Amino acid sequence: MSPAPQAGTGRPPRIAVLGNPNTGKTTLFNRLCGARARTANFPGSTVEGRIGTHRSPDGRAELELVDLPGTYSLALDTPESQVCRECLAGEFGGIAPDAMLVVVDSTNLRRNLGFAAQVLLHRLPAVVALNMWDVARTRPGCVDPAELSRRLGCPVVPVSGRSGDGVAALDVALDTVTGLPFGSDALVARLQKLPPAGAAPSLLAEWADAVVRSSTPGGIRTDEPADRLLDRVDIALTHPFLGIVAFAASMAALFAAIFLVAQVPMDLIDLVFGTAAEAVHAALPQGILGDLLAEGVVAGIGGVLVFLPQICLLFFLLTLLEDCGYLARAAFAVDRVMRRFGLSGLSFIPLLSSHACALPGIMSTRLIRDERDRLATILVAPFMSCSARMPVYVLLIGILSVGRPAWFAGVAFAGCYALGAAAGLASAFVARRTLLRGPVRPMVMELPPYRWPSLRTAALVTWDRASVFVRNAGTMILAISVVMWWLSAFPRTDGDARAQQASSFAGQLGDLAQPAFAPLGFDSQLTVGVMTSFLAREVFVSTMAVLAGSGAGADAGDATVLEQVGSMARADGTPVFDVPTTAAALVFFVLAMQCLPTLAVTRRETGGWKWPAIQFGWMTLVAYAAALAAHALATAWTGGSG
Amino acid sequence: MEDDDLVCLCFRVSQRKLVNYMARERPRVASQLSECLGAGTGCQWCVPFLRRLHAQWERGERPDLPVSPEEYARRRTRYRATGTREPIAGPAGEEYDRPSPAVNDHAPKPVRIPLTQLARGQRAVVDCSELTGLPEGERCLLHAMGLHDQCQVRVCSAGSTCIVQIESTRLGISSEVARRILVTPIEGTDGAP
Repeated sequence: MSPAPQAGTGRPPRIAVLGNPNTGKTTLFNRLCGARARTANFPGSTVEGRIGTHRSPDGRAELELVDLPGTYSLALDTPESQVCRECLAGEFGGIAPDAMLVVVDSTNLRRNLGFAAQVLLHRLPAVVALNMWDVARTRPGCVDPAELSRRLGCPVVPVSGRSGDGVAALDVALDTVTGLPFGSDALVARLQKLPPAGAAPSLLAEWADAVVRSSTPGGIRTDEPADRLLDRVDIALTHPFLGIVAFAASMAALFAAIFLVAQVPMDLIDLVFGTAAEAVHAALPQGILGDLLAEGVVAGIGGVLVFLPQICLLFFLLTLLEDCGYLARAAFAVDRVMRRFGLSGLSFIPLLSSHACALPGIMSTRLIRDERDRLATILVAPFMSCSARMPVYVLLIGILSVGRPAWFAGVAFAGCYALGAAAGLASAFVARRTLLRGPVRPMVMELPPYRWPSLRTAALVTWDRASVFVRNAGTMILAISVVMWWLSAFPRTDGDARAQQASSFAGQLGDLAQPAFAPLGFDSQLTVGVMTSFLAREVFVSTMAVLAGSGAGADAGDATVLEQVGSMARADGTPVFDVPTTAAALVFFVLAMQCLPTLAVTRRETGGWKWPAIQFGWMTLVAYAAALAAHALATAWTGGSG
Repeated sequence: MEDDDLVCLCFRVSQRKLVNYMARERPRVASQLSECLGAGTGCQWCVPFLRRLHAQWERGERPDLPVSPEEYARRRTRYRATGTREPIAGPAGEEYDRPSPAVNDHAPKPVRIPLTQLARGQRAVVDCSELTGLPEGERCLLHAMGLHDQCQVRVCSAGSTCIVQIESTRLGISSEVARRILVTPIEGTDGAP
């Protein structure tokens, strides 16, 4: 029988998909809904769920599936558990689910059934999917689905989300069950078979054990055989030394891949959008519209898409690592180190990926279970020297190392990275003792079995992350780019680029802010450069190039950007980039929050403006103070002569 | 046992229900008692006791189990964790009723040690009755992950990260938590070299 659309609403029946973590729930969900699912943030939390539409093969029936986050119990004080409770109570979008699909791992039935019992107590039609049946059926002591179904009082369907076996039967069961009238005899009978609501965990476990024993015809195994090889692998991967070495090696490979592979599409995107901007300029008559389209919109879209290759690659590889079971072990290996700074082992990956770009880094903090750990990690991730700082480092260190030994530049580069990482860890340390005070939760984590990662799952996760980024952060970044263009293009002047820079709103802001940066030795030109780069720090180099280029006259054409900028002069004729100023600017760029896209992503991931504001305020403060100190030190070092 | 005490704890079947059932249905063999609310079809612990009740009834005695419900439940928990039955003292001549001097209420309590003190490969039974050193949230999570009272664990790694296996689940537990989990080692499962 086919489920009728819910009377009066015309919407397809909604089915909540629940299960323990690591039961292959999402794989099964993907199998049922494919890439048509959309990601949705549950109200009032940062937990994400996915909503997909499932059509039975004959196309008759349509179901709306809600993939709820995996949780070990419905009674836990975690965001995942809370979201599941709220969804079952009908507090998600004001629509109560019409049925439940409980996904259990049939290789680990007893624990999974304890959770299933909690779920089945809700007065909703339900189907239990015995996932990973392809593995379970080959093992001795395999449960009989028909008997289990009798014991649980609801349909039990053996399936394999990986191979797709049994999905057709699941289809039929879901179809049938959503057509059941509410409060039918079958539902009442089911409730009587279950342990009472709020039962103690040991009672639940006993009940689950009894059910499994009574529905396993061949008798169950009381103990799992010891797998010594697996023990050894686990010991090595969580070892304080070996584990860190293995982790460092895998991360080095991961980020080498990201840096090397992502560079090609990133350059390509730059090229395409650069060409497109020129083409737009050429095609449209001189004027505001052409400028807006070319420098605001086209460049803005390019500025969004340029982040995509890194985000996609990071999430693809990270999902593979997580899926194969390695990430959980690695988290234990680094946990000991990260704990000293008040972060958890899982914070390491977001912080490391922030060295490529803080955006995917912050997005990947979803791996971290503890909310305080996660916020602390988001807060300090932008301190890591991302690749956008690279051109600025090249420019400023280039200026600094003129007339110095060759090793100086190398040391300065390493110093910048070390300074960023140290500031980040120190900030995390401070944050965990002030804003995010609370015990560092010791790690307790399931170590999922090792298995071949699913490329399909990884591709779907990547697609998900990429589309969330483009939709949410992307629109924000685009808007910022247009505002940014407007600030630097208005009010219009007839003069050259330099005059335009100086008299634009951005230039005026620079003049306004100049007194604040005077203690760092910044003149108004440098202040304009810093101000414009508050939105995106890589702008600094181009701004300085424009300022330097138009100031140097016609013969500057052959000089490199570095020489041009290095020879810039203040109003009184002394060089802008004397040693203390350059050092101060460099330190400022290492530490300052000069990336609006990051703030946009932080807002999205933390669900409000509070954390981006704290992030911005704290980082600017630290950067300013450190730059001041650097200026003073460098002045003392060079005897004040520059 | 009192009449209202449970014989089959899995399906919550009391001694009274079984006695009434036998009076009403007059089962010819003990296994027919499973028709009484599924008694004995769960963990199987009560099967010998059902046989005993049936035998008592056949002999015309008033069926009653000579054991306190607390002791009965405790032994069942042990049985479910270890899979072995400790005999229960009672009149001779019946299954599992052989008097055993080793088993009585004054038996020494099993030694409990922190999980971190087990050797690799050793098996143990978890005692969650005193997980007091842990915050509530942590305790609930551990329970829900499968580390509930009287479950059997095998130690896969005894290093600074404790890895235990409960059935087919592997849990990584940092030592701060692991040293607060008390377990009773199971004899004869000493660690691997």
